[in-house]
Amino acid sequence: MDRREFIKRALYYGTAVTASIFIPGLSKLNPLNKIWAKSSSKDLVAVKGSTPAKMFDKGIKVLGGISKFVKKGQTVVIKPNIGWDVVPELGANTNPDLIGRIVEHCKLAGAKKIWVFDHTCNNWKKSYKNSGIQRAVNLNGGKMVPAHKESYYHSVTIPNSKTLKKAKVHELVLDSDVFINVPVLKDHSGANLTIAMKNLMGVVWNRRYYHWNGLHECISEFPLYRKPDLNIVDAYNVMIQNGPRGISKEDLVLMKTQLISEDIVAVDTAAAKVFGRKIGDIDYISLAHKMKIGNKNLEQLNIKRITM
Amino acid sequence: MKKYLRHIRIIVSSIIFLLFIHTFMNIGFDTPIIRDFLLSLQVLPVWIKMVVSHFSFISIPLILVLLLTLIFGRIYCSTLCPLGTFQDVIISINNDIQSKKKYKYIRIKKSVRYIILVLVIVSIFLGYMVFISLLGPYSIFGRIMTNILKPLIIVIMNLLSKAFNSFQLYLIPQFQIHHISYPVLLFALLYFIFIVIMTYFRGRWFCNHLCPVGTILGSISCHSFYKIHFTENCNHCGLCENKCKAGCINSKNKKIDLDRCINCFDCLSVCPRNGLEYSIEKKKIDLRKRKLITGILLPLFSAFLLPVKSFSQMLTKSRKLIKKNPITPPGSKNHDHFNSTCISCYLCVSSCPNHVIIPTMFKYGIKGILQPELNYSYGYCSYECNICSQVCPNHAIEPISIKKKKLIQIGIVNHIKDNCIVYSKNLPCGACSEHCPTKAVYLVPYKSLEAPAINTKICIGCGACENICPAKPNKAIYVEGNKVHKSTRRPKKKQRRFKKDSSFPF
Repeated sequence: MDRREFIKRALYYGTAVTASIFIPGLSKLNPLNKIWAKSSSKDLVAVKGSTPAKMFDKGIKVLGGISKFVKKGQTVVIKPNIGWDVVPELGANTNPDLIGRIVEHCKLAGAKKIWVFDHTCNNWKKSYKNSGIQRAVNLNGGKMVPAHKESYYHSVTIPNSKTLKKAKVHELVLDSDVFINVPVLKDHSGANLTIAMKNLMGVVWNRRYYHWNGLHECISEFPLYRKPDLNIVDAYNVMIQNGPRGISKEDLVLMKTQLISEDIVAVDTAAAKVFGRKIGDIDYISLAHKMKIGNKNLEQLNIKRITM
Repeated sequence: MKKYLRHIRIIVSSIIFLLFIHTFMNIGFDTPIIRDFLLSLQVLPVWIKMVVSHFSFISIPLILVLLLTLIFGRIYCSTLCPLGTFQDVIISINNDIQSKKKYKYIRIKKSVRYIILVLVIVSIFLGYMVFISLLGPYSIFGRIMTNILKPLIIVIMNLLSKAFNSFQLYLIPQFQIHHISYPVLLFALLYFIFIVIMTYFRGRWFCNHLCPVGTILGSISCHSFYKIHFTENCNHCGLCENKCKAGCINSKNKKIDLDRCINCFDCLSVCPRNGLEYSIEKKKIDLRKRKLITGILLPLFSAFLLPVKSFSQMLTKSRKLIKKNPITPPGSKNHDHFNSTCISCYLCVSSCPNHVIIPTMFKYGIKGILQPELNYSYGYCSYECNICSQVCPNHAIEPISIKKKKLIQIGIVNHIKDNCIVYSKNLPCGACSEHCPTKAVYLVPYKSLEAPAINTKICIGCGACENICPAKPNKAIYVEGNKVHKSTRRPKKKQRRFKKDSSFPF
């Protein structure tokens, strides 16, 4: 490059970097963010052998801490799995301690607002309460938000999709700066396994549309609208049968695992392997890989494995 | 002191009324103690509860209400009865809109009230709830509240909420109006219009002409210890008669028909010269003892006289055939028990957190007019919930623990392959099995997919499958109601063996 190019680029990068520090929300424009992210962190972090909260502490450190994803003054929306009116011991929802710890990290990183919600399957008030997640969120300075009324959802077009052309998406997913997806790994009678991509069904209003038009196609196409900035798969106490609701604690196996990645396809693939299912049986993973939403070939990825 | 009686009455009745509204609105926080307190004081539901339990208990609150009436008069009608306070609210709105209403002393034919009372007593023996549903003050209030006032309050709150939200003041949450049954709403509206018209012309007309509770308490209150009566200071000015919304004061002859006096104490407040007093009268008790017997003894001991079950069973044999069995809430045991006990107050409808219990007009035939059912188009019965059984004031839905409720089968699931997405469209689904809390609906391999299969032995008929089934235009899986609720087996708890890996599988 010649001198002019160099001066132009230096001015651009310099202004962008300076601006992103002082003006919250503009950090998305900072091109250096992407470069930093790529060079320092792994594609997938797999942790094993401790409690969900402690595993998250260790895991997120490898990726550079939550401040790599949440800048000061940003709004964060966290989407756990709070589908069922069931106590934490029965493993049907994301572990509440994990959610509490994630909220705490975001708070320390300087997030302006931390919202947490799910479009529950059972009664939302009971699910929020009995899952223990409402309490964990409130204790750590976040806010539980209702998602039970259609008026909270707004219609958006899904770009480049074939089956899921439009969807009504919860306003917080449309408005928030950072979108953190925290699913729980479970057997699932409709979709085979529910992990990160399936968890995103909880941000749309009309889930019946998915079943009626092609469940796996719709699940794989939703990330075309917005990919979560970070996916944290809770595989601590895993429901290996009778999912997604489960009948009793005999359905659970204590695997004490956690997977963290920005790549939603990679984290789903890794979780399926941890579960012991064949990737070929789970259509939405192959479909999403084909659409280049993520990479299911884990051998091509930079993985950090931690046993605690 | 007597000048304050009216004020005290207004304060107490307002508090009780607001508590009733809070109980039926069922938004925000639950207050079971308040709800149980309010319901334990309602005469007809409690009486039915005692009769149905074959007098396995005697309701102390009911005895207290009757004693209260014996000592102080029809205090219930002006403070504890929700329909009474509702009428008072309408009357006071009327008075504000137009110039002060002047009532007159009216003579009534007592026969109509007593015919209705006898009909109601006989009905309770026979398990025929139609007259109690239609004429009981608590039932009438429950329906007006659930079908008219509750949606209205929600609409107003949502408007206020939107207004506040536009100023970034998120003080009031938004609520949904769940399911409006239009025939029932129309019916409730007719009652509402009727009450507005009758209170305009005749004040508490309903309380003294139709209300069976009014008749019972009236027959006790004419022998009450504390009575409102005239003193020698009265000069027949007639101010009290103009104020009396029960039309029971004859100022010309200085007589008050105590069986119709509802103890609102408006007369005491308006009299300018101490012409009226509320005290123990130093006169001989009226010798018409048979009214006393009707009032106290019959309600309490009626259950011993006739066997409830056999009579109601005799009548139910000639019931209209319904194509599809309606579904009654868990705890109602069977349709016979439910139809012969439910008084259509809709507290269960208002309290159900999943909004699956809805009002109906004639789903159970004339015998079950207005009685509610579970309709899975609107919701499903939550696995961890037993609220309807906890709120029902007369045990049409008997209280059951959540643990026991999980083993009651209120209906059985049926699967229609022709409507099913898996069978007819060859697409993966399984939403029914996803939501089934017992996995009575489970998946079996079908071609390259998995299709629903049913184990009716563990199905509890909760309707989660029917509610979530995305098939259009007709559902592929639904619940057929059980006329008699059955018990199910506990779902099998087997653990699949899982090899735990110490390392990562990738």
